[in-house]
Amino acid sequence: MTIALADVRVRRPQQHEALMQELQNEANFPTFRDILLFSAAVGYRQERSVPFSAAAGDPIRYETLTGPAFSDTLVSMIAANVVAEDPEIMDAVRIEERIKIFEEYANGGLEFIQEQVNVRHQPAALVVVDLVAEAFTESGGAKPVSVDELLSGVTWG
Amino acid sequence: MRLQSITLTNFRQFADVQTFDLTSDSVRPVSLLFGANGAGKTTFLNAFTWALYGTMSDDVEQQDRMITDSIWRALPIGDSAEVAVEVRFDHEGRDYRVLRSAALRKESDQQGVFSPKVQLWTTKPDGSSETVGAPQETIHSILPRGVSRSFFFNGERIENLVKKGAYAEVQKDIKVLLDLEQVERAIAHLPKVDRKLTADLKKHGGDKASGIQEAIDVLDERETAAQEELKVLESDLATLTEERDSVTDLLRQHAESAPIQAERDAVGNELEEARSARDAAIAERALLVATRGFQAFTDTLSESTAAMAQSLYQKGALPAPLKREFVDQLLDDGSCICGTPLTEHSVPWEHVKDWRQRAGLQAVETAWQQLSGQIAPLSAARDELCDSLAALMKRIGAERDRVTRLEERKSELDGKLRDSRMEDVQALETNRMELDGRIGVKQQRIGAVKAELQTIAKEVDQKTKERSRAVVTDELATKARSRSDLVQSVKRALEDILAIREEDIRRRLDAELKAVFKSITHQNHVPTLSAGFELTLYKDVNGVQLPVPKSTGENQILSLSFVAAVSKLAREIRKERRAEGDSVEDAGTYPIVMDAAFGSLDQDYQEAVSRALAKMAPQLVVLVSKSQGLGKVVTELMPYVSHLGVIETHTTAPGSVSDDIELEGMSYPYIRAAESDHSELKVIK
Repeated sequence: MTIALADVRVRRPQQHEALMQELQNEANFPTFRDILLFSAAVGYRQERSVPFSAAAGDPIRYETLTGPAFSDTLVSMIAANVVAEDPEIMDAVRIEERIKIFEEYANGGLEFIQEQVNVRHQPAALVVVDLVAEAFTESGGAKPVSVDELLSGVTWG
Repeated sequence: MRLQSITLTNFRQFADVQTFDLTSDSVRPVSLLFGANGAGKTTFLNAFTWALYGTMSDDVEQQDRMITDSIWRALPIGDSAEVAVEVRFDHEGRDYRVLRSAALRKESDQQGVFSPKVQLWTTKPDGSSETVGAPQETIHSILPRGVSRSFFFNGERIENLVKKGAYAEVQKDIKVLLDLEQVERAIAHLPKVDRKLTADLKKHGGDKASGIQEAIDVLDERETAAQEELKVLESDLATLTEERDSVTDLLRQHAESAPIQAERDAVGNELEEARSARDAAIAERALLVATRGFQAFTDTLSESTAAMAQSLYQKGALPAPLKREFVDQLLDDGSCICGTPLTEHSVPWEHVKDWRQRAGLQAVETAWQQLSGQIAPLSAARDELCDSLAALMKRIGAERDRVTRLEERKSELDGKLRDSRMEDVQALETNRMELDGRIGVKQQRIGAVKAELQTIAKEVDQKTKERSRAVVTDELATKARSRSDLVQSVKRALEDILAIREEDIRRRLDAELKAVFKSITHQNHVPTLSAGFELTLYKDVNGVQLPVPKSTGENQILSLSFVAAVSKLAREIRKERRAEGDSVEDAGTYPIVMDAAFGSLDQDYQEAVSRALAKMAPQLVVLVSKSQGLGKVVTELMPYVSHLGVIETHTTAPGSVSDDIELEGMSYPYIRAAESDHSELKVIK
């Protein structure tokens, strides 16, 4: 949109570096960009936005982030819904604000995915597939995990 | 050879001195001994071979513990204990007593190394007794070690007699037993005699005759060498053939399992394919989730965004009624559209500036338009993602089912194949071809050597003729020449005799074997002793003779028949061989001592075997357990039994271990609790 975009970058939280590696290696996520898009969608669905300061690696250029279809739509929609009473959040000059919102939801989403990995005793690859399946089957949102489910991943002995 | 008695002294289970009488006559040739498992039946059998040859069969464990354990344990360190076996027997009119014994000084609970010594005494017909100088030699001449295997045997291992690979030994044994070896030895010795004679001829026979004789000597040497080579070649050939047979056997087994193997391979391939299809589907789903998965979570987000845009439109905020850029332009220009000058901080200026905040930005409007424009396509994309994922899930499920099904099938086939030996067919085939090649080479060489031998024989003939024509002046040389000629003739005659005898004996043994076997088995199988003294079993299927794969039981019957036939023929031949005078009464008579001879035979076979044995063997010692011997065996054998005994087991095992055996209506102790583990020979009659 404007020349200023060239300098806009998206950071990924250092805290979830291990999870991101796992998602890349075992869950077929081609790039970090895909992980951020996915986890931000999850984070927004879970209403979990977590600010962070420590970033890992080089930040991703916004143009790179928004390569996939509907990815910029996702970023915009999240921002528009979060700053509900201010349509001008969509203004080009407020891109950094939108990205900050996006980053924090991505961070929250990663946190949620990590929790699910821990709770379900499943690899991230399976958790991710299940989350998508759940998003399709019902209105979505995390169901509370039952005791049975908690135990099903445990092997005795 | 007829056994009279055996005396065991501290011999393994048999503590102290124990004797069992074995004298029998032609009416009642059988001695029957019962013993529980572990009582010492095999030990008893081995006592005979130990006394005679100092050896025990390989199936006797802990061969270094010869002295009864309890005796050895009770022995003070430094003292000595004796182990001995004495066998009394008569052979061709003489009584013999062989004693093998050893004394061992105790140094620890382990028994040390023995060096048993053997002594042999003979009683002449006139009653005088004398020590035999070369005891082991004499025993070997009475019953050669090789032959003894046919007469002292463990029924559980008797089928080894007819196993492939045993033929060479069997053949040798038979030759010894049936007096063929003596002829062979004579033939081997004659050339030496000849050489001595011809040495004179060479020395005194003049140039011509000496030259001829030297040529003959060379030919003789070549002949000997060729014969040696032939022997080696033939044994090599036998080994190779045996090896090839076993490879062929493996291949045949493989051929049987080949269809299963083929199916398993096919299932294995399909399984591989199914697994990779399943994995591919899973990977595809993962990629779809990874790259487009976020769309799944956008449903409510899209709805609320759409609603937001909608309300902005409704509020009139979108599209913006007034563009901020327009207001800014007015403020910059300092003039309103109505012409009013817009001086900074003037009322109109403030008025217009106030509008500036209310006016929408073109960029924001565009952004919102773009955003709401994306919502419908996103929703469509989301639906499409849902469909794709559902399809992938279905595919994964189907492939998973297929994998499970194939895995089950494969493990079932694996189970079927587990028992058959799965050598690499390719390697086996190569191996067989190579063996075939090597057999071919050996056979060629054998042919060549045989041809050479014929040529040599012809040349020797030729030279011998020349030799007789050559002028010999010296009288000594003439004599030597005629003697040598005679030796040659004798040798040729003996060779002919050997060939004829061999064939004759083979035919008789074959006939005898057929008769015995037929009397035992109910199967329509015919055993054959081939020209190479090889035992085979055929069945006649509508005039075609087919080889029968021998079962364990059948092998036992075949071996027993063979032993019985050899035993019978040995007697006949020894009786015939006397050119002058009557043969000794027991010529060719050998006892048969057998342990567990009825081990793996059915009741009806046990009956037939017992009947056949009682009639055929001149003397029979049978060792059986209650389970093997009571019933048919006892019923059949009892009329022929002269000595009946029990090897009573004495055991320290706790609890009520006592057991009795009932024979001819009476009960006798079979197993008894005792202070020490040992066995006692108890005579019943």
